[in-house]
Amino acid sequence: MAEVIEAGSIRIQLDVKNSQSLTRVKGRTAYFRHWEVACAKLGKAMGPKAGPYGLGAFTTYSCDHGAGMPYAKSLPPKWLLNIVDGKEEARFSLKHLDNSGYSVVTEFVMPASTHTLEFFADDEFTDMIAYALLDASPMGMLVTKADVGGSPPQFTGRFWRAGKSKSFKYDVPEPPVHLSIYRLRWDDQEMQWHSESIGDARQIKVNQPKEQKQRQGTVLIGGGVVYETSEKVVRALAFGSLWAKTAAGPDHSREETTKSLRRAQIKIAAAAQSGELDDFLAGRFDAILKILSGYGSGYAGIRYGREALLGEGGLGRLLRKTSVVQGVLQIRNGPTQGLRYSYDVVPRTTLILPGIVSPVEASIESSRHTLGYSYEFDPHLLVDKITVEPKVGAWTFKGVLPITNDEHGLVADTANFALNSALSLGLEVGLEELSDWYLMRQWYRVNTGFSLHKSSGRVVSNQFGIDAFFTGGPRISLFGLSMKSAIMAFYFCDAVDIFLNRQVGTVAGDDAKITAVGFTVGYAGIGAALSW
Amino acid sequence: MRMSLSLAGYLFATASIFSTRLSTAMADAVIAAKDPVATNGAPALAEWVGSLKEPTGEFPRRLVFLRALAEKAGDLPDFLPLNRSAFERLSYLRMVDSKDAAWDFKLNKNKFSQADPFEAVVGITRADTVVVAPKKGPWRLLRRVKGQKTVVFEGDGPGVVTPEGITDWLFAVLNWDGVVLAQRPDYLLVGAKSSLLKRSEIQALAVTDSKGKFILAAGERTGSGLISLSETREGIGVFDVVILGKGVKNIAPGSKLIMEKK
Repeated sequence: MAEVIEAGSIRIQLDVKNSQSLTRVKGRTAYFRHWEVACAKLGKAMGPKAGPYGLGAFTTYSCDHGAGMPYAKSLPPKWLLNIVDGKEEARFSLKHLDNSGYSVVTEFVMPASTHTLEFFADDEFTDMIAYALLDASPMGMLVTKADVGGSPPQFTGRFWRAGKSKSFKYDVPEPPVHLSIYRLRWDDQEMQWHSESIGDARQIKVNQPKEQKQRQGTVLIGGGVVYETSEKVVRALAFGSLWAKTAAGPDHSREETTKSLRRAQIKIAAAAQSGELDDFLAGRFDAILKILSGYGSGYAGIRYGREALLGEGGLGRLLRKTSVVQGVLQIRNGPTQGLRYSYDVVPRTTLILPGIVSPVEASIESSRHTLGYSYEFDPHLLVDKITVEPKVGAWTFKGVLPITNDEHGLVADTANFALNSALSLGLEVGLEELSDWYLMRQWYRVNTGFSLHKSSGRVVSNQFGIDAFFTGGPRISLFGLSMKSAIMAFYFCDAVDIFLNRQVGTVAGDDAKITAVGFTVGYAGIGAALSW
Repeated sequence: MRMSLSLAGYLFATASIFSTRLSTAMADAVIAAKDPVATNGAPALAEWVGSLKEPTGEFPRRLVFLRALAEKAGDLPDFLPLNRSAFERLSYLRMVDSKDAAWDFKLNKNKFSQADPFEAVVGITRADTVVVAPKKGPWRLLRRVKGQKTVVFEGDGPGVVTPEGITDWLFAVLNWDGVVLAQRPDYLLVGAKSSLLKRSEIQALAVTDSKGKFILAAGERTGSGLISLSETREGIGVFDVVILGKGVKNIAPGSKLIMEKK
């Protein structure tokens, strides 16, 4: 038998049985106080026209924490939102009652947090949860006869950020441009949804909300997304309300929505973990700077990489043998937040190369101390963080490098290149993408070093690379501190030019002086880190 | 009134002689036999159609028109845009509204995300016959036979892809003119092309053992009874049974009909 789906009631239920591990941790009273707030906010956000862009399907809601007390004797509602605030994950399952019981219509999962229910104190976060559920459900925006007017007929959906702070904290998708308008039925026998397409609607404008100064800051008021539809829709509305949903269909943007939600969760979790949730909600907490509290207040690690580029000639073969060891220290929280230190060593590497007269030994080694300070900001676009990091350091380079070859590739001449503790200055720009379990960082760095020794010279290095930092390893107790272990992976390419203040050779068959050498290396490797 | 007929060979021969016999030797007798029942309490068509249950037999009832099936599970098929109301006026055949179906695909995406594209189309649209009508290449009629996707026809499509062109093409492919949808004592509810049923005094030959045949073979015209139109509305008509072949007790739902074309 077909059930016509109209705006109805929903029970929002906390699955206490599967959330017990958390309730033990948090204490029942406070936990259920957070639950009451979460349920009420979520219930309101899923009301008709109350969700982002006017989504919303449930005229009434009830809250239940699974003990069965308040609602045990009432008829089971057609819709159920089951929330498992589990130890491993938080699961939100929107279910519909059919002839086999409650069937999952859509669900999504977030990483577990001991603060999950507290997140709903944030209306913007609640909106994102409501959007994820409603966008994936077969219902959409409820359109009634009273909503549509004018010629050509128009109706308006809620502006996502209406009623929220001007300084919006999360990334949200654009409002849909094309809507499908339909009646919806559920067929219990076939166990599937059936629609009757009535018409379409097209976004014609977005009315920006007005700013209103309130005690807690500037809030956006009003606004809306205006859609134009057809007379056919108006005629159909005489026989009952309709649903409107993005023409791409339910759940079309799950990947994007999930990603936005994860990013939002990371931000709010960082605030909650720092005990600064109230500041965060009031927009006084720069979450992105705290975001790595998930990785600790800082981390120290060691990485090892091998040369990965295919070099040519004697120099190329020498470079192929090299490796790099790096020690890194990053302070991401506290008074020294932003400090970065790294120590890179290319251990002495030697190679016997065939020479014109006799074999020659080539060698290379270097070390570099770098101290930097990272200035960071959230661009609210594409990446989570942009960093700009000036650096200062000391650079030592020693090498006996082949500088000329004969036509057979035999080394004709080598030269000593040495820079001892050259002062180094650099600048790095990084783009960071954060998740709850990884940090991905792409960067470009330019360094220049110069020695005060008269016979020495200067060095210029252009580097670009990608670093990955994966959390999730076991916790380790060290010096009385509980530290998290993580795995690092990296690749970087380094184009080095060394200029000396003296001649080291001449080009064969030519009198041109050789005073510089340039080479490119690329190192790929892995490492381990501890964060605190 | 029903007339039993002992001379089955006389009445039900091949198609090549059907029209001649119907229009000459049999005509008077048929009309004479038809008159009393035509005015004597034939079931009201609207009421009958309203109470019609899912008829048995192999014949198309609800079609879905596609340009192409989805290439892989979970993808949306390419629907052939066709004016549904215009198509449904032309015969008893119903068709799936492509817009509803496309939206139903999206609504039920999870349920059918792993299903074979054909099964997904049939499951979501409830169509019994899938017409795959590419812009180039042969058209195909697909049906689920004994639980398996079966190509029941593959060949040239219609000359013009319009509701009229497709309807004519479909009946030409099926090689019959109508089908018995339901049966009551002395009367049959018949589905056919509307244009055929518009003609007055139309008679039809029920083809023997045709209930289980979706497409009739070229020479398959052995009759089991003769029926005459009593009431019609678009592609549905109430026919009264004029005569039955020897040993034939009734004309079962699903039986195919050959109608007089002149």
